[in-house]
Amino acid sequence: MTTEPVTVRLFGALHALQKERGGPTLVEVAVPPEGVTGADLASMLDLPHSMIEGVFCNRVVRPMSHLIRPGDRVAFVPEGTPGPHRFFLGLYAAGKDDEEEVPTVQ
Amino acid sequence: MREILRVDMSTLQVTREPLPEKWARYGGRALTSAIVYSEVPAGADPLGPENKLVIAPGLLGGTSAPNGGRLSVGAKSPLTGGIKEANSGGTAAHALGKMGIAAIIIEGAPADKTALYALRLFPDGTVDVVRRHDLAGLGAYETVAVAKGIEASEHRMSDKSSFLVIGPSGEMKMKSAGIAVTDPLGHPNRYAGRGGLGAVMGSKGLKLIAIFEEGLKPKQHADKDAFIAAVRKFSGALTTHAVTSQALPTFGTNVLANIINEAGGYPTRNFSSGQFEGVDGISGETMREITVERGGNVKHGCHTGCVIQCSRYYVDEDGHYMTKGPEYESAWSLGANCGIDDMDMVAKLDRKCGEIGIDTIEAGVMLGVYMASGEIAFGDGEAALKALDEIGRGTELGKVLGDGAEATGVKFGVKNIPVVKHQGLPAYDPRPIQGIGVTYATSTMGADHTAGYTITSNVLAVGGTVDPLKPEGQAALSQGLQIATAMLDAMGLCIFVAFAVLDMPEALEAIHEMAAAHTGDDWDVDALMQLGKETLAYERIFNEHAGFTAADDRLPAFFLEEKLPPHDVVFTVTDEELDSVYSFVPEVAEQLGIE
Repeated sequence: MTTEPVTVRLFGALHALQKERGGPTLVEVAVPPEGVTGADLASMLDLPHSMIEGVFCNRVVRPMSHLIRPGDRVAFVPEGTPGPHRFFLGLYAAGKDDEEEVPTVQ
Repeated sequence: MREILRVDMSTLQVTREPLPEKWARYGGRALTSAIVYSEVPAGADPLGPENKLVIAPGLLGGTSAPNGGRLSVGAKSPLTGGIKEANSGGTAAHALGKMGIAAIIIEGAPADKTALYALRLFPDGTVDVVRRHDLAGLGAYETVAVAKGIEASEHRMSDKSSFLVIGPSGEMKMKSAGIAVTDPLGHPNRYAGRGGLGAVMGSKGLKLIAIFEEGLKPKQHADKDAFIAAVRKFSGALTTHAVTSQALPTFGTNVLANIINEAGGYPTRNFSSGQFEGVDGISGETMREITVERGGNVKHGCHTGCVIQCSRYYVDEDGHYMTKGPEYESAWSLGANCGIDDMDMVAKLDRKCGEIGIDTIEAGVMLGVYMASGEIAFGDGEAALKALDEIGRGTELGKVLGDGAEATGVKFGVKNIPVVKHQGLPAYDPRPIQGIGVTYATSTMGADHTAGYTITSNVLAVGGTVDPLKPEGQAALSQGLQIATAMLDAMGLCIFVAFAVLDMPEALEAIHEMAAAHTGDDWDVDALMQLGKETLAYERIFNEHAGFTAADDRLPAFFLEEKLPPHDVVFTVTDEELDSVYSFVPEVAEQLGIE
């Protein structure tokens, strides 16, 4: 059975890393029908998890644990999104998703 | 004791006065807004003698505070009709700080409406105002080149010289005119761009301000050792955080292009779509590749003392300087918003704006509206260049275009004009990114992306969990952002320091520790936020006196009525929520004794 591939875009430092490797920054990846997590997809592309803060799935920021299914449009965003957009887009929350405790500033 | 330098352009007299004690804790935007509130009648003609142009370094200006060399320029805005603070990099802020100048107030106007002057500040404290008709009509770059030549011939030039200049658009008092500030290499490519402050400077008959700081030392601190310790703490945070040490220095602010585009919030062709098919051509990643390939500079500070180093120079195919690497907002406004996907064309348009002295955001929003009218086509960069030429030459068409997006839209009957308080919206569509829409709607500045740019503890409570596509929590988020941004502007700190402050609590501590060690006053986090609130209170009340009401704190109707693809959403934050953003003002105003 064939399934529609996931299209993956790489931004910022991940874009540069892929260029250094001689690879494309827009790639298509086949995933099983039941899907894979963002973290698994990053591993399939050999992307260091430590460089990633969030993943867009179909234009919405999700945590790395989000299930990505065939046909989805995905983009990995590295740490380092400037502006208030880390909050407005939910990247901050996504980056903290797997942590036990959200740090606070007093 | 810091001083106010008052320049009366009616008499060409310059006087000094001590900074009033009530403003001893103010710098930058807090000071420009307090002065404009106190000295400019809210009903004044922005281009008349009653308006005042106020130029102020931050409280930490003139010190070695990392990223503490931002400059605030304030006045009543000819574009918005309300109060305005435009913030710039460059070298002028630290120079003024070293001179002990808290603010320059430029007031009055020459009786001879054709007269053109230069204001010059020398390191020995001498200040003069001289006629400079030879600069009439010159672009910003040429103005600085001519001025440098003259000053060099009189042995006043050195690497320690700063210039603030206007282009022909400022001389012609166009509402999109900005004030160019020279960067550390002397290029007039940093801008106090928004709100038409270049026109205010032009209305004073002032073409140029030259500041010579050769031999001046950084300001003394109340507690030198404590200041140095705080600087080290702050610098350590900025040079290790992922945003300030990696993303911004590597790709510049335009690293946002792909991200905002992916979020479906990248305004395209006059805000008719949230994704631009040509984004790759104008992204930060592409700009870096082009610049590196051509041998251009891809990492330097826009102002003295910057440790983030997110600026760059864009060069032509032969490696010659064209303009600063267009910032995210400029690459968007002159790129996606005009349907242009060619980085070289974006750079040409950016340089043209720099020459004629207009705000690149207002210019790009104006061009998007002009293209939407059908007068020129989306994607036609050459036609856009010609339109900007019309502004520089001051033709009948150019005077309309030079007054910005709203004037252009009204003239050509465009339905969707993306402005708030008459000022063009920057590079984030408020429909899929609702939080920025709250800031656009309610900011005292008109639609302004930098008005809500940082974080507070309040943001940590709500900012991590808001859904960008939904209204819940957005008003509280925007309120916290606007207060904290006003504080940073008052300190003279670059707003990008906020990213380190978020994840590294010691960075926020370092800000109030630097303020306390420098001034000898008590500062803590609450005092920092109070500074932000007081700044906004002056601005909000000035605007009320100028006739602004809740009806002015709204987005144009099409953002509420027309769904934006690809998310197909409209802006849904309620009027009641928008009206809650400034709920703190009455209490703060009472504390200040203003009404």
